[in-house]
Amino acid sequence: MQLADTQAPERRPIFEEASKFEGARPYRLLPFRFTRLPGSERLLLVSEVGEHIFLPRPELEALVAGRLGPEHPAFLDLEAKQFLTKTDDSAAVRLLAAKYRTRKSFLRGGPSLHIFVVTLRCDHSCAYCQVSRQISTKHEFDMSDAVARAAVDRLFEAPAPVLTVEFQGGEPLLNFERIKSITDDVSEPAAATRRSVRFTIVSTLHHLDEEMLRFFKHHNFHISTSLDGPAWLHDRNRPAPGGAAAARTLEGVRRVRDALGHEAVAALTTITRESLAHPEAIVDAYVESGFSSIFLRPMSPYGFAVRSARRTAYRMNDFVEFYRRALDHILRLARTGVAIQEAYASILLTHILTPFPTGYVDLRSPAGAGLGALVYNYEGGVYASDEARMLAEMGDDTFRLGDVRQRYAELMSSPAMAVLMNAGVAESLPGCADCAFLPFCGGDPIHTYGQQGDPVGHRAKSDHCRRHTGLFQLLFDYLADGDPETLRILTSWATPWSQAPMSLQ
Amino acid sequence: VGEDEHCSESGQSTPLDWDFSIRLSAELYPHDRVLRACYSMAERASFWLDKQEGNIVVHCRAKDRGASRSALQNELLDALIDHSLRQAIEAQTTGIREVLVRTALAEARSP
Repeated sequence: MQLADTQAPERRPIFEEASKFEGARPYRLLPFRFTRLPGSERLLLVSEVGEHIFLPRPELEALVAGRLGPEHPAFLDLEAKQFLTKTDDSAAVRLLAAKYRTRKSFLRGGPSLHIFVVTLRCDHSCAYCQVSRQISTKHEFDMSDAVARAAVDRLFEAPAPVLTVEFQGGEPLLNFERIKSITDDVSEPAAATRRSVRFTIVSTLHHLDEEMLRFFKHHNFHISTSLDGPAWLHDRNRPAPGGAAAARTLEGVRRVRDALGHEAVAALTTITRESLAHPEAIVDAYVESGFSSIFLRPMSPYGFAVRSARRTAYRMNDFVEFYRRALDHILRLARTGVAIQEAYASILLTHILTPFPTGYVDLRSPAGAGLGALVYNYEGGVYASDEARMLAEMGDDTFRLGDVRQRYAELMSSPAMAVLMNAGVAESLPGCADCAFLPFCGGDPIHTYGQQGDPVGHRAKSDHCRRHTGLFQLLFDYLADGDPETLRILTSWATPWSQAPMSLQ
Repeated sequence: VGEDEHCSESGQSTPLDWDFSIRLSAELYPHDRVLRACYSMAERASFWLDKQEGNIVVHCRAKDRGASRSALQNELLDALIDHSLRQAIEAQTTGIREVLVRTALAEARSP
């Protein structure tokens, strides 16, 4: 063994005991966390309710030791953002509690995102498919009327006043009749009980026809599709019968825009190993296709993606580097007046720069799986998330809450929900509990289970942690840098637009 | 800690050859904080903790065998200092944090 460092550098206490300053301090600390930002002299401090400030190390140590004087330039900011208080604790706690309650307001009302998997049939053969798709003639993989009606009953047992009904597959348009029946079964009672419902569908748009467009327009659907960038890349990632998958999706996008309006359709990009070298080209393809938003999503370790992992998988650090290049390019474009934003950055910035949560259920503490979303599978299984359903398709029912014929209360008190509650509170998870990004982030027990076989898992092995740590560091680098034009652009992305529940599948 | 000293008080050998070891005063660096510091670096290094004469001895080995030993040492020392500072913050704010969460969630129960 090579030698050894010796003693720790100092023998005296590094930080004085708190009691030493009792009675002498001009202020009292309020809860916060901090982290170093790679390459920065300043530390990032984040309060329990998500306010942030950048501070040099000596000032942080002075703050904690009770030595930061009110004349210090940062003192007023620290007081305004409630890192410290000069007044009595009770007033400060009441104000902080109000902010905390707002940030956790997604807890009110229970699951508001209800995903209906109306069929597993799909005619694409994507190598990274997260789902266990079936060939398009196997109708036994369609959701039956009885299952659909029972699922709608469960949806109305959930107390949420604002609901999102999302249709997924397979390719959901291959079972359009079921989409129609569920939409009709939800719309009328929702109106009668004064619940707000938003309908969304995730589709390749290859099977879109005029009847569907009229129906979607009547019910004000929001359409989500997949576009993996330039046609050559999309067609390679998402082979479809007859080829030209990208052209057919873009034709569908055009028809949706004509019928429902330009912003009625959004697209997401699944990043494959091949995509990693082309961030600028992928963003440019979205701009050329008239999108004002792009969502850059890494591959997930489920379904067919597991089988093809050897030739398609990559390290999460490579994704973060890809993302950095893509975001740089988007910001360069935005500075020249091109209106395009990255949807995931928009969600993270909303978490960072506003006191509000977003409707994004995968980044919450307690975890959004089950508490924020329910998935009704074609065969009647009820799952805590789409990832839970994918695990079940791979033979693991750990996160199957039960069957659509069981009552909502029974589903929510299932053993699967107990596992999620035990592992889904990030504030109590090792690593997360100390993380400065905690107020903006959340554990993902199902993803962690899928990756590590354990819903708590180890942060060092967690792709979820690597991805979000990397993305938060990147965004805070921009914020710390303070370039006015960059700040203006990023702030404009941080809006509560995304408070409607969504899965971003 | 010298090269011949990577045995625990009980005399059991540690399971790996370590890149370096540091001895920490258990009084200044509580066991919980040392564990947290090691946990935060677990992607890049393996650790073995031992006790010797009231001190905590941290043995460290880089997972990437090409990694710089001095960079790893610096990172560990930074992590130890950071977690000590976090402990000082928690000592002053834990009570408030608990009251805060209890107050916020109690309010959430009301209409």
